[in-house]
Amino acid sequence: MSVHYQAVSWNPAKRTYDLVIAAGIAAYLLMFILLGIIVHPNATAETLIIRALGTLALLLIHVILSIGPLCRLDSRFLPLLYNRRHLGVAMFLVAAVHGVFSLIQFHGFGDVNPLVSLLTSNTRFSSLADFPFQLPGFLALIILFLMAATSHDFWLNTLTPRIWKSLHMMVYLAYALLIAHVSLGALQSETSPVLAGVLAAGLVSVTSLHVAAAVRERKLDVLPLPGADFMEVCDIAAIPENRAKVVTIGLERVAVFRYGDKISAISNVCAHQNGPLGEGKIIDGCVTCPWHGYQYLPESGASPPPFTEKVPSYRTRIVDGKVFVDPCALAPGTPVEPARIV
Amino acid sequence: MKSRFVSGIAAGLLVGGAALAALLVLAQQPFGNGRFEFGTVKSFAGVLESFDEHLLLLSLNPPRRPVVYPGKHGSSESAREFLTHYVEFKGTLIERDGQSMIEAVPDSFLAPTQPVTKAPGPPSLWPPQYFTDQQSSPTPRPVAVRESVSLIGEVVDSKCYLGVMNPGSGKVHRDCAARCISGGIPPAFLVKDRAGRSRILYLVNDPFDLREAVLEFVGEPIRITGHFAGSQSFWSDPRTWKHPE
Repeated sequence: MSVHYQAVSWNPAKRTYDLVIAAGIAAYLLMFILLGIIVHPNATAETLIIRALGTLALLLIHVILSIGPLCRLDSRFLPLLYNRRHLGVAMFLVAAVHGVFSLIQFHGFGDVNPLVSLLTSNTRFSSLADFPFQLPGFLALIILFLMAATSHDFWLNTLTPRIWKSLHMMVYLAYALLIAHVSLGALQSETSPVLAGVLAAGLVSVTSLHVAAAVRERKLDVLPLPGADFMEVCDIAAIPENRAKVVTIGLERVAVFRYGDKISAISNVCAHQNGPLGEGKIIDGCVTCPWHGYQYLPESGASPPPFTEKVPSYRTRIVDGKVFVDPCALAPGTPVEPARIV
Repeated sequence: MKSRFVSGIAAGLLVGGAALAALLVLAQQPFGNGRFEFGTVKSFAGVLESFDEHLLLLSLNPPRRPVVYPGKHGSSESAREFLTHYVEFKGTLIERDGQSMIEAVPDSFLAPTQPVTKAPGPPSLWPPQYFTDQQSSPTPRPVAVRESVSLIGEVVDSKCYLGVMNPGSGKVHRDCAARCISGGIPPAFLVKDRAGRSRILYLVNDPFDLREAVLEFVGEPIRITGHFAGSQSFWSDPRTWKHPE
């Protein structure tokens, strides 16, 4: 929890996660290339490698984008979220090798610099059929590079969580660019409806999962009435011991924790990396973020000394077995008397 | 419980990913018969001649093959020094469906004899003959060399199409084709006969250099008009080229 550079540390869970990623990448590439050699003996090795890497990168970004909404729909997926950054970096590396191979293959060994060739060989931007499809892929790769390069906590602290998160939300722009890259390129050269069908299925799956997660969370939203001070959010029984119920009050996510005979509410957004505090639990008296273990005192939203992270806190009340929360957030780290379960 | 669930998801992703890879491989359209004997260097000999600015030919009866350089380069001044000479050099064969090309090893040219006084080249790139027109008439008929005909096809770079890249045509390959043609690889017109057999015709318009003009049309279906200049070449003016309706 400092702004100083810290080496990435691996624990057994992270090692297992990374081994599964490596095994998955190897299995996919081997299957694609070996079967490709058998089924298409006339295909050149570079073509098979480029296609294997390109399709793998596209598959990985679908998996990455699906993890978030899946976790919101079913908490059993949360372990997949824990090390998602490594999956993202792996995806970038696969896409980068695809990009470099393609740049060499299609633009290298010529009479101009390959990058100049990439930007000038086709400038028919007004035609959908003739559109230079490699440019969207190139732009997506730049975004993915920025994300991979800043995936370390050093950059999170240096850039501030708000800017860092905004940068990493550009993965959706990168995804749109990749869909355009494939739709305007490979799908126009290939004739099989299977390829278009697979891409459409991926796009529909990712979109549906996000919509489903948004609809589910919207049901939990509590809209504050004009002039109302405390809003009813749930029954006490709806909150498991040492856990939270996440509600949306207005536009803010609030994690309402129950611990012993107390109820406290703090912002659901971790100050470290915007992780979902409400999906964590109370360990050693502190709300513990499920992503990276950052901790906060439930009655104030402040990290225990010597740490300095703080999130907003909320006033709470209990009336007839129901929990009420004041929709007005207090300044981050403000101590609030917990509501008592009688 | 959660661990077992996550293990199941991981196993599903591994198996599903491999299955998806297999599906995507099987769904790709077939590749052509192009062949590039990469790594196999052979000796070639014949009379080196030129037609147009960009088309360097090695003539040894038969066959007559274009000569190009490694990468996306047609030839160099060093090779052109040997024009009209009987030369011996090293190179790698590129071949597809009976049409072939040589990628020469730079600086491997040797000319053991004096220049050949009468080169077997222009005005016809390949020995004058009739070409069987199977594109525009239901019944194949002989077409005289100078008779004007229209063809529908795609401008490709001949080196990639013949085998250096596979596939060496279509939209995905367009930028590479543009780069190759810009670098001096002879532009060619890919046509299919009624039986679906593909072949390329080298595009010529001597003395006009076609390279700049054809770049606008590379990799897309177009209709061109002109006449056959031998069995493997086609004379055409790019100003008459059109996209088919």
